Amino acid sequence: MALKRKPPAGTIRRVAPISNHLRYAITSKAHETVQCESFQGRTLTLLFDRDATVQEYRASPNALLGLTLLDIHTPMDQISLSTGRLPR
Amino acid sequence: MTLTSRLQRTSLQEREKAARQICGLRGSRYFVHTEATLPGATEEANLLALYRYRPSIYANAEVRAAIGQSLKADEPEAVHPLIAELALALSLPVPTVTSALCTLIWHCVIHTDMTSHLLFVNAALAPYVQVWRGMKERQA
Repeated sequence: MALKRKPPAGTIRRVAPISNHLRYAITSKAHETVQCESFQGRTLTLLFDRDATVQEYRASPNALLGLTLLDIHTPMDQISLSTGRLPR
Repeated sequence: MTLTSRLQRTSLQEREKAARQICGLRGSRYFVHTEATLPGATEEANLLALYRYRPSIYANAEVRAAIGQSLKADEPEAVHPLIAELALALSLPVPTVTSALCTLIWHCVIHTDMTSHLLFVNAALAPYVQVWRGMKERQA
């Protein structure tokens, strides 16, 4: 039986592997725990890590104006940039 | 993040519409990434292989300065002769020079083709890898 753990602070839930997807819990360049729910999500964090214009990125907040779980499958959509350019 | 095949789903479109409105109110922008906007398999493998060279402990100021002089802007150069040349000139071990060079690639100081072929074969830089000087070095 898999152990159930609390999600990282400020995050909706602990991500789970959906079908054959892999899940990751990594430490971002801002030293925050960020969850990824697929290998594609992990790849996106690598791009953010490599791009010097991205200052930090983080997982979904607890609630987005009352709409909880709004971006449940897009856990790294909050990024801060020193310029207006996105890495992709 | 989703698949292009799912973009036409009504529920996903409604969620995206709501997210765009909320992000607009907050002064930010909402992006949906798909497999079409993310790196391909080769670039993914290269990113993961280079990720280990992210820590600054691998950086070497002497190697960086020497590369700035050796490499010409936008002129690709084979990586193996370059490493050998730098190791000899700076009296540094080849692994030290290799690590320093990979750190520069990770931080986009020097560039290489990440999309066409694997950078590492049998845990070593492949002989066909070429590097060239990036914007940061040109401006320095």
